Amino acid sequence: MHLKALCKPLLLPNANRGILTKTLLIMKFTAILLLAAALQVSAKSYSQQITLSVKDVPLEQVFKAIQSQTGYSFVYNNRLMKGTKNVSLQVDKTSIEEVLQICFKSQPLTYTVIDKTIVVKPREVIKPDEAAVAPAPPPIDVSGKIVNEKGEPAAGVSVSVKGTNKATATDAGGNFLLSGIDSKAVLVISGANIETLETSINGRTTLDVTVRQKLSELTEVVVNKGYYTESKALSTGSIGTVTAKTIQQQPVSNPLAALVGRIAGLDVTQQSGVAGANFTIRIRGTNSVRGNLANSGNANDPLVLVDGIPFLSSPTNVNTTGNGIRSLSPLNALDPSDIQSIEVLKDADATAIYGSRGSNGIILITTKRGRAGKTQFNMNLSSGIGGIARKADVLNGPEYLAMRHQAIKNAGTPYNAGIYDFDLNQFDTTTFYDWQKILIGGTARYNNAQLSLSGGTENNRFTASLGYLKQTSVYPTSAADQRVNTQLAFDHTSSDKRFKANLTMTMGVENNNMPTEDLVDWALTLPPVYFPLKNDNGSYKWFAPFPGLFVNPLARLTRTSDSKTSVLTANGVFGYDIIESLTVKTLVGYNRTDYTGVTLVPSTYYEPGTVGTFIRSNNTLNTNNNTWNMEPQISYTRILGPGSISALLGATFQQTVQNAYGIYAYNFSNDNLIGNPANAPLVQAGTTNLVYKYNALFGRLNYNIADKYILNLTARRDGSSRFGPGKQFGNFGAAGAAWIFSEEKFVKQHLRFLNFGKLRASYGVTGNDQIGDYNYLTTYYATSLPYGTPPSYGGNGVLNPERLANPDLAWETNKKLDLALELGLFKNRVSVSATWFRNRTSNQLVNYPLPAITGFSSILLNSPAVVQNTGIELELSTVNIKTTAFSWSTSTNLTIPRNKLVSFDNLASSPYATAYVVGQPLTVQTVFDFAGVDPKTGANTWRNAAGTIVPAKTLTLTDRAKYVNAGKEFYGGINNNFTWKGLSLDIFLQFVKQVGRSTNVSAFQPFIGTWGWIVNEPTKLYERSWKQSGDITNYHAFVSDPLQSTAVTPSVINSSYDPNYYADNSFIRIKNIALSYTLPQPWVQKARMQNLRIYMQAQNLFTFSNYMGLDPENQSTSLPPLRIITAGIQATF
Amino acid sequence: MKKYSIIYIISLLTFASSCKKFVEIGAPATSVSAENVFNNDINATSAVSYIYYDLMANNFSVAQSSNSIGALSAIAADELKTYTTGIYQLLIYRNQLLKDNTAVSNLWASAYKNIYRANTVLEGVAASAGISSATRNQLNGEAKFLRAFFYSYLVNLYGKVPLVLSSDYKQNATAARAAVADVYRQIVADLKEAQGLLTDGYLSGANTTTTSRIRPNKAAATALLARVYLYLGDWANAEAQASTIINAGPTYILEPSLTNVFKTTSKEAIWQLQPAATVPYTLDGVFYILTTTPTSGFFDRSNVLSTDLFNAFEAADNRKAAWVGSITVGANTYYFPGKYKSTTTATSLTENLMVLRLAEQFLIRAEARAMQGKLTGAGSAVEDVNAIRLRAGLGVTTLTAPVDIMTAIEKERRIELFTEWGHRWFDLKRMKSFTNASLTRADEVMPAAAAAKGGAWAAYCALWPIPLTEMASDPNLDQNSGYN
Repeated sequence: MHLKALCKPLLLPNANRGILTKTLLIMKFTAILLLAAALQVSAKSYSQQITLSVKDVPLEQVFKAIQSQTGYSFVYNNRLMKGTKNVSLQVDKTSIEEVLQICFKSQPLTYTVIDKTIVVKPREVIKPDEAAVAPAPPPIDVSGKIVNEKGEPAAGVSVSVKGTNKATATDAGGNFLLSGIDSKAVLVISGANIETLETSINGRTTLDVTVRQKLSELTEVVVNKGYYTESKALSTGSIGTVTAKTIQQQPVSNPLAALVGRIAGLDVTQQSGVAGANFTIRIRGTNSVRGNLANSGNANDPLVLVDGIPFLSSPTNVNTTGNGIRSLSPLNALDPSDIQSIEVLKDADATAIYGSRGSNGIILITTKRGRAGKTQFNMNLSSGIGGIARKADVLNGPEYLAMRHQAIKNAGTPYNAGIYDFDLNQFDTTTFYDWQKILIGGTARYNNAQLSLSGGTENNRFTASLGYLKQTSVYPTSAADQRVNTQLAFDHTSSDKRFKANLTMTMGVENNNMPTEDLVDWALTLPPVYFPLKNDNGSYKWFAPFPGLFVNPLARLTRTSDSKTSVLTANGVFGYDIIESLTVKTLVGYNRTDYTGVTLVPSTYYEPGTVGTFIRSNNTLNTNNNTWNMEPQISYTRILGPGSISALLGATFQQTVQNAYGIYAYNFSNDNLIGNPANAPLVQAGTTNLVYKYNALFGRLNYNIADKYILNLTARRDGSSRFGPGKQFGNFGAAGAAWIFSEEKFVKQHLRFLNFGKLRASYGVTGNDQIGDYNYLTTYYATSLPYGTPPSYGGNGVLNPERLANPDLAWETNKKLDLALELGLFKNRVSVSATWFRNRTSNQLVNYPLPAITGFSSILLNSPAVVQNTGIELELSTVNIKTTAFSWSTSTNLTIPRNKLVSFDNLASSPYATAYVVGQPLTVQTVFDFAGVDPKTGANTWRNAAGTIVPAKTLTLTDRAKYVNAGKEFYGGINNNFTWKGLSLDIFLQFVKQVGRSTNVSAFQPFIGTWGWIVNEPTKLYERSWKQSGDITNYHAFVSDPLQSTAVTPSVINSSYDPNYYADNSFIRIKNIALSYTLPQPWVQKARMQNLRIYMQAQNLFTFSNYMGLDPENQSTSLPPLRIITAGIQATF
Repeated sequence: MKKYSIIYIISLLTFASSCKKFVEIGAPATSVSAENVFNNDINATSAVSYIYYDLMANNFSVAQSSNSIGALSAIAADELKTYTTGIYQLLIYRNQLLKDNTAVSNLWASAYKNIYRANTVLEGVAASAGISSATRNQLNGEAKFLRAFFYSYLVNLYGKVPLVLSSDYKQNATAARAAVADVYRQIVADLKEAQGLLTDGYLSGANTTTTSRIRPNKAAATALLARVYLYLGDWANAEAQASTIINAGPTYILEPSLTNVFKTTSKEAIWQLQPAATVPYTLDGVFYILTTTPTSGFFDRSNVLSTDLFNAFEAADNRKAAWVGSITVGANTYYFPGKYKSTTTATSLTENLMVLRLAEQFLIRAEARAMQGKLTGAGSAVEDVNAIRLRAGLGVTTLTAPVDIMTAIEKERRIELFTEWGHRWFDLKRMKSFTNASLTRADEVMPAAAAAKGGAWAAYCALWPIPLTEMASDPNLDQNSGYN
């Protein structure tokens, strides 16, 4: 506890001591204990002269006296103190140097003074016999060539001299040179894809080595756990990794898109196929019952870190008020080709060190770093096309007309004649339109170029890259999404290897003017019988008889949106080995995301003559999000007892400031003026300013016995500004353990096929503060309403309560349990891992729906609900065939998730009474008991709670007695890789077994889930519907007006309460095919190149599903992820 | 390497400074904390003013336009014919309303939101020490008045309603419906208190005296109390309260010119709402004034006077010319409510939205007197009815029979107050048949009116359903009969 008590004066040159004293009392951080045993740091201040009189006291006591008088602090290991002699001393106003010399005179210790810190270390004793040995043989220079089993040069392989810091890497020809090394040295040859090999030089100056390519990545792969890295084999946690190779073989613009289906337990869904759109990411299920509502934060989103810096993962344009504006993903500004790896941390062991931020898992993105050696210039160019991969099967013209005539016939006496049948009376019923082809059937262009340069020496390595991407859309518009990226990374190691610095700067600028209007809705629902959208002179055509009733989707495209996003990330990691095995490190980072969006609505957007809805407007939104963080850390490793112990202690300071201002200017007098809000007669403006501060202490203690038994403890104490006074801090921690049983003798002897076997388990608690800022605070705000600019009444401003504040808000906790078995069989030709997990989230922060009588529709509070996510994750990698020329390997992952509301106190009397059911998943939908379609009338019939068929009108919400669970039953992916000489083919299949809406309600059912209207419908729905007396079906008769509709399905039956709306929406998708050919070395070398590769890639190629809409994955009226096919060339010089 | 070590020693030690202070943040710069709202007169007044602003600037206002009490009640009753194809309005129009009607739930939510705001003002003012006693009384008076005002509509539209008197969501979230009598008891109590707290003068938003009658005063509380007594059948008190205003002297007179009644300068106004901020027109003007054929897609500009109401005007009635607008398109002439003339083309503010006016007080007193048997002569019902008729350019009535006089009062209410704040709808529901005490006027009038609108009338339709969403989030709410 010295650390806590004694650092105080150092921190307080002129600060407010009272506050800090109080503060320090609060910090009862258990992790400090981790290091206190091994390390003591002490300091006090103020004098340079020492007056001291002691007799035969322990050395430590003298240290304390010195530091209390001088402010010098001592850094030393407790263990060192064991062999010290007691000290007697009598000095008066003596300099510190002198006093130290006296103290250390007869000790087995020495010291270094670094400014005001005295580092104590063991005296290097030169043993007489060693000193007397004859001088070592003169150093020699060794050169050589390293090749793989095929005789091809192995480039980028590390060659190091065992026991020293000397190392180099092979060049593209596999050659290396090491100068000035011991002639008896042992060389260690290692690399990411080869099996590590040691060889003695024995005086040789040239040597050729053949290395074996690794069959499985399991043993040698180093995984990044954020604050520390460890070998995957020794890891106690659940981590999924996607490497640069997998990312780069997919023609995607957003790194998140490259993760779809690749990692067990990770569920990534692209919200729209429009370039730049946002993603939904769930790691091991939905933990929090609150959704991603405006005032609830992004409750279920994982933490995304790019090189250790928290990255804005929620949409950049969250604060927009305009209609139809899509969410944009800020990660789209990152170039996937700059990424070295993406790690997904899943269990408590891996995430607890992130405390509250790790509740929903963590996505760690690590960017590429330079490699020592010859300067390499890399160029990658690709180009391709994109389009809708799968059209929805909707009615064609004649089918539509048949449906409509039937619907009108069913209506009997026409209701509001002329209004509900004008398509048959007033549209041209002989011309048919294929709206999917017209509105979303275009071809998107995809062009991508990257240039990069890397190289340097062992001590100074660098990489620099530049990328450009342009994507257009499938809409009838020339709009595009363009992006420019640059990245600079520089790594420095001091000549004594004690100091290391890693500096990275990435900048991405994206300019997206894709339409904000998603035409999918109209492409699916506009009747095939319609009116032409354009006049002969090119102007937009409207349907005159019913002004305001019909949409012209092309006119909608005249609303333009120009979004510019720029993301800057800069960070530095500075590490220094103070004494052997004691390293201090600080990470300092900054992330800035700027978004400017201008949405213009000109008069052409509106139908002429619909006065009152005709408002030219300019909606300009600027947001910027600034995050800085600082993470000082100290780590220590030593042998303790039978094993080795490593400890880490650190702190996090993070501040995120989000500023947004928006201007909504409207009623411009003509279209030429809308570029400048100043030209508008009416202007509304608003700003938001959100501050989030976060602070934590964290620690890790790892104990490893012979790489066989491993224990890993992590802990964190977190404080968040999102909670009110007294509720800000929470404690989180986890324990993980692994038993590598393949290291046991009996396994080695009797189970020879098993070359690797590990059992691991972890349990821990993480928290969640992903709610909006300030929810604990009652504030007032002068909200501007559409007709009240500026907000005032009777000459004075107005103030409105902003929210129902809840000062009792506290941390949501997520308890995670994880059990796993990992096996490597037959020399790692088969590797298997099976994981079972259980996450239980309690003290749930929920947006509790409130009746409007409370003045608000919800309040954020800690609910007594417990939500459980369990699941099984299976991964299997096999090397099916491996010969010199041909290899085939397969990797498969499968996730079987289960979600359940475990308990909810007083659910029945809560506002959630009708939303959730204890024992059922959160996604459960309680539905009415459907009794079939009456074969005589074609109307739906229903049973009440008692099971009696009753008139639909009498049903109440409490009559819902059946459950439908819309959600994923299992999902995963299978990748097959084939290589034959220079050819490589990857085929990746994504599969999902799920239940969802059989059609998209908002797209196909204009009124409370009925069909037959002047709206197109899926062909299957048409085929299955009741048509004449005696038809037995579950799909009601066609209806054509509201009153008929209420007769068929009373409005109490919100379509989501109708069991017929759920269906098996499972799908299998050929997600990615990547074919590449690496040209043989002799050819390449003739062209003075190191490497030349040509490739073809396809994304979202085919989807097989029974889903009636467009895309079974997003199941919405958004554009589905596009099918993109590209071809490219990659060259390294 | 010495310099690096220093950096590290310092940063290493910095982590001990992990502190509570770091994570404490103040209120966001863009908002005002609750303490700063109720520690001075002007900000505290702003909190009350938001209610008026909301009523005038919000698209979903209960006061005006498409979701207003006036418009929705007018189509539910027999005042308007609508051309809208909007399903929720159509179902109200045809008296076939279902419990998931969003128009009805929006109205409910807006009213309760303003009740919440009034409650927070009462609590904020009570907890504050920084407000002057004059402002304290004024704000308490206004908040109580407003609470009574909204409850008086809720209880008439929905029957039993939850009585929410504090801002505490824990209590309110599970509130059950209070008996109609209890709601009225609270309304009367609030209005009596408001009478005691408010003064005779009118204040601007900045608490200076003004001639604009845009914030409620004592007379507003009295006028509403007179109406509430009338609805309760407390005839003597209704007459007494109405008389207080009618006899108040030159402050309140019936505007001799009908075209001045709804103007900002109206001497007839007891309480008006001023269009918010810089908008120089009322949304009711925008909503009702037709410039072409009624629209079918939206509820705005899709309404005309019902034939029945149009025919109810006597030939000589000046109100038809002054308050009914018309437009002829081809062979068709459409008549629409034209009380407000200003629309989006207005350049300066000439009209406020009328909430309480003197003419209604005459009609309240007429009815209260008639029910007490004071039918003719000085201080009688006929005297008050004639005050209204004379102003409309009609001759004095010579009726003497109680049934005739009551019929005349109902008709004057219908003509004088059409499409204003649901008067007609409430009158039909509350007034007993003049010939058969077991029926209401709605029972007599609505079957034919509903049929004319293409719907059908049933007695339960007199009350609107408790919104489905409310039922779902408050387990203690029950539904009005007929909607299950």
